[in-house]
Amino acid sequence: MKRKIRNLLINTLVYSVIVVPLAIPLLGMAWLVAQSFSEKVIVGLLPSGFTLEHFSFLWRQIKFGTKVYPNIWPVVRNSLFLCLIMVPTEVLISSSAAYALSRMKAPGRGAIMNFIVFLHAFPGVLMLIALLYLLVQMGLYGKGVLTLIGVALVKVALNVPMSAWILKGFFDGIPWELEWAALVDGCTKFQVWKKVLLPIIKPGISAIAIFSFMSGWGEWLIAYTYLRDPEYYTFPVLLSSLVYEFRFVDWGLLAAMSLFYIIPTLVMYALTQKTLLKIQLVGAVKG
Amino acid sequence: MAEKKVSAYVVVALIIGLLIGAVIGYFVKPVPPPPAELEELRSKYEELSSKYSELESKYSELESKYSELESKYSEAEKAYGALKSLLGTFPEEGVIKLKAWCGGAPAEGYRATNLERGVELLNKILKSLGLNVKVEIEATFEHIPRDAARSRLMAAWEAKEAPDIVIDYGYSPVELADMGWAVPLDEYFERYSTLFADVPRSMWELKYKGHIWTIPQDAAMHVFYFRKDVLRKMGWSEEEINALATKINNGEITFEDIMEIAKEAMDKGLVEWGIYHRKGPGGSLWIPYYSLGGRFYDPETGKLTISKSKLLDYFTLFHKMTQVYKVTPPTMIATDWRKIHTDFVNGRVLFWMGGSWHWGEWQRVEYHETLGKLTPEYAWENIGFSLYPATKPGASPGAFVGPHSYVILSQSKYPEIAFLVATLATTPEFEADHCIEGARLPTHAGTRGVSKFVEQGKFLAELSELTGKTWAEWIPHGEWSKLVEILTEALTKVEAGEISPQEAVDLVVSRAETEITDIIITD
Amino acid sequence: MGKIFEALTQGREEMRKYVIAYLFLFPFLLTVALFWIKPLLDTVYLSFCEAKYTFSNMKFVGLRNYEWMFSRDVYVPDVFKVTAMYVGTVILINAFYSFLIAFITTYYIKREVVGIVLRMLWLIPRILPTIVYAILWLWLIDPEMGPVNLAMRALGIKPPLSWLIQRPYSWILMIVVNGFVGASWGMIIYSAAIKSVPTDIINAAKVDGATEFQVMRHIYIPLLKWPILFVTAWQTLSLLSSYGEILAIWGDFGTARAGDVVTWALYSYYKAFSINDYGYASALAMILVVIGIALTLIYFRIFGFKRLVQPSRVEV
Repeated sequence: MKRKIRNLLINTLVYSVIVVPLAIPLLGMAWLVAQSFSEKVIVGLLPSGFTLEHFSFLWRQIKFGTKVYPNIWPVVRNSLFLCLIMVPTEVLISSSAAYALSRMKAPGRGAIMNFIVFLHAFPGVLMLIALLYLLVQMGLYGKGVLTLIGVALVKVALNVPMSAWILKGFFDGIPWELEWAALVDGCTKFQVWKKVLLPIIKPGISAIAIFSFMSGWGEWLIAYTYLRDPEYYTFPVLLSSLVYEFRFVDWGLLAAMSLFYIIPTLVMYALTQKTLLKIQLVGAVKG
Repeated sequence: MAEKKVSAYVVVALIIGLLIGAVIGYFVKPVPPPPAELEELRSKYEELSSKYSELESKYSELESKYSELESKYSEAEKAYGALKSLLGTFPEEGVIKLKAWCGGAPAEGYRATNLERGVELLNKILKSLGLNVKVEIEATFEHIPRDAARSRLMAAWEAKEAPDIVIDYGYSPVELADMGWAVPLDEYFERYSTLFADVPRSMWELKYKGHIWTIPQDAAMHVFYFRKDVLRKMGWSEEEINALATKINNGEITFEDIMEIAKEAMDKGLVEWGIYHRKGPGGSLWIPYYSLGGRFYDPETGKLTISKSKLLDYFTLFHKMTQVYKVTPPTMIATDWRKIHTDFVNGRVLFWMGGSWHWGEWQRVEYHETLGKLTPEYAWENIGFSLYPATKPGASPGAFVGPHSYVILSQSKYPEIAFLVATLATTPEFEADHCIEGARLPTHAGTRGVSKFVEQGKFLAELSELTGKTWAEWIPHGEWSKLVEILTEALTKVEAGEISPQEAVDLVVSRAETEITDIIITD
Repeated sequence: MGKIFEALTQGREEMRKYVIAYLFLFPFLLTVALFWIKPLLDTVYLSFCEAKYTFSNMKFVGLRNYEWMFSRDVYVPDVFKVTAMYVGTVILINAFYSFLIAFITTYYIKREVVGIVLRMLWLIPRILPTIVYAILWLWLIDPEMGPVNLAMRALGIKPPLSWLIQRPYSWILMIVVNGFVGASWGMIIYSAAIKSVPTDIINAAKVDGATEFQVMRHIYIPLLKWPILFVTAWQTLSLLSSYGEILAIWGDFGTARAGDVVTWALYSYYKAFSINDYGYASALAMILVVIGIALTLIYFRIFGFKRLVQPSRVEV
């Protein structure tokens, strides 16, 4: 009997070590959902009065204190635009590089691979200043849409070492015979890459594509630093400007908008569990 | 198969042949007019001949008139040329587009609206001068944090798309002048001096590095607010309440007394906190220093100055407020505006070291938990105002009065037009709207006569009577922002109870000695 | 274009192969050259310049920025202390607490589903976009509405006026906020490593009467010493250079300064994007860049290329 109690106590202790802290982010998520539908600002977790009012930002102007933001949809469009630029660019660059790294015995290959791992470890966010300078020189700063493109390019550049590495892993898994057969048939290397190999590693490509999309959708730091024109804000930048609006806080609106914003993220997270873990395993710094 | 081909060719040939025939026929068949028509034509020809000679004579008439006009035109062209050089380079015809970014407290949207009205006025003038030039302006007003404004302006500047006019947009006029972003306005002021006839010199003749950089838009005056309803609950009579402002203004009641009153109110549980001041850094925080006779800038030497003894008294005041009397939260200097206004408007704080524009802001923004926007009646009934009390007995009560001004940026292609627009924006009729809405003092004396101002400007009128006891807020020195940073740092630590007032003074002095080059430090 | 391609590829067989390989690598190399190498070199150059508000008139001033940093900048000592405290404390969470999480969810909890669910939940702070994560925390610590203060009051502890500004609460917040995000990374690595340990060793130990705790102490920890070392090393570098969460929650420099949560990387960011002193900010960033490069090279040395790429490999 004593033993059972003792075991139970130890079990509880062990579980609580990792479950109790978990309560905090879970509490936060629960609040997010509760607050978005609650009429009044809720203290604690109990919603009071059900309302869809906070979601009115989906079809109306966003009124926040004395500021009126036009619709939410241009902002969504901006975020999607960012993702739309990022995904094909990142896929293209990493898949072509991965193929070379995997297959071809060119000199310098080892050095480049070392270099990729190096870039991985190196915190790119330290170079935001110089990246700003680069964008200014390229004429991609402060000019509306071009700034969005600039942000997309920076983000792609930061992601590409890791995506190339992951795709290399996929390419490595394809037996050489397939390629050889295609080459014998008279294809150039380029055709082999495009028509034979890429379709085979479709799961890898889609993983990278999804990851790129999520990376773009959720990107806050770089967008916040570089995007200055409210007309071209992406979703997270709009959210942060609402938070830093120092005279007013409309919790309901913030919660509803955040909920709306993270739904794609959560959905994709649920769907791509395995690949995400694999990506993280290769030592990615946050994100 | 072959037959079908042949027949197809035949059909095609036929069609082509028909087309060619039709074309030829069209061109090659002049039908001579019957003789009767020929006569008609002849008479018509004679008619036209005579008409032609008529027109010929008219033409020579017009020709002489034309040369007359031509000479008149060249005269007008000379005058126009003079006017043109007067107004700077602008197209002979077309549209001039200006952009203006305005910042400020929430109720100051008129800063942008008045620019639009100024443009309308300017267009009327240009039209009456007979010039085919139109001015258009895209003036936006937004209320955003200082950092956001600065980075937005910086981004626009880098992209060479900076606005022509800015006001209160992240950077102070002194900073803009230092960065080379502002246009010196001296010659414009001279040229258009009549437009500033009823604006006090102290508002526009603010020189930095020998030049004027600003066009006054309004005058902000700091105001010390108190809750009359709380005082009533403390047992004060109406006379005592009404006399409070007067006693503060003539120095009878000092900050010492205020802290006592605040403590009493807190002890009685009537308020959460006794005294609130603004988030740092900011102008109103330096008022108690000026009250002691201290100054941060010496106009004669052009250097920054600090006085150790006065700084000691200054920091002691805040030390008392937060650590001794405990009427102010020790985190006051980092408290956000939302909390400050909500707390004061809902009567949870007794005293607020604010500015005149808050009076307007409370009536335009829903801070009150039940009433939303305050009505003028509520404000007059429950909120009293005065100058800032003297820091200690013997010091002077007072406040800062300083103009907030438009600055013309050097990326502008039409600086003189922008200057005119900014000047016209403060035309008394327009200015009255802004002053009433935002509760700020006007730049033109004439504005006080505008009917709207007379009717609704009671608050501002009372304030204007106190302007005699105010100090100017203009510190034209490039290193002022560094001193502000040092003072804010020291003040934060004093309020948090981390250092004593004396240590704060030492901190300020040692940092000033290392970091600021152009400063005089006295005892 | 095609002709060049042909000419290039018509040479010797070997040459052809090299050229093709590099053609495939070209987009990648261009991206890296433009967005990694150039900015790195620019950061070096900028750190020796005075560049305020705009890049167009930067002036070379030699070591002036560094001189200021090490002798006259009043904030540097505080920033250094905060960074040291921040890295030193959060590493405990990211490298060691995460081990506990991994161990418990992968080994201790016998039902695999529960373990997986718990790990998925622990990943949530990491996959949430930074700003939403910040909003959640801002609500949690809100003086009036937040459950943290409510719970404190219920327990009889006086909550602070402001979690953002009052020390030591601001420090606690800073550490906890980053800890939640950082713990999941180590958890993933350790989980994979733990799973790869063959069960016969464990069974043998159990048969010998070992408790779970002893299993952890004597089997797993020694076996996982390389992953543990790896995670510690990697996270150290990561912590030195990350500032996103602090920036999102505290917002502007004034508030962060008042709460004394300005780490070195964050200080560089504020100097660049709030105060617009690009030259000095680059000098600050250079310190971290140099440390980053040095540490990464050291990691290459210690761990070797293979382990860097497969950190959860366990040698039994």
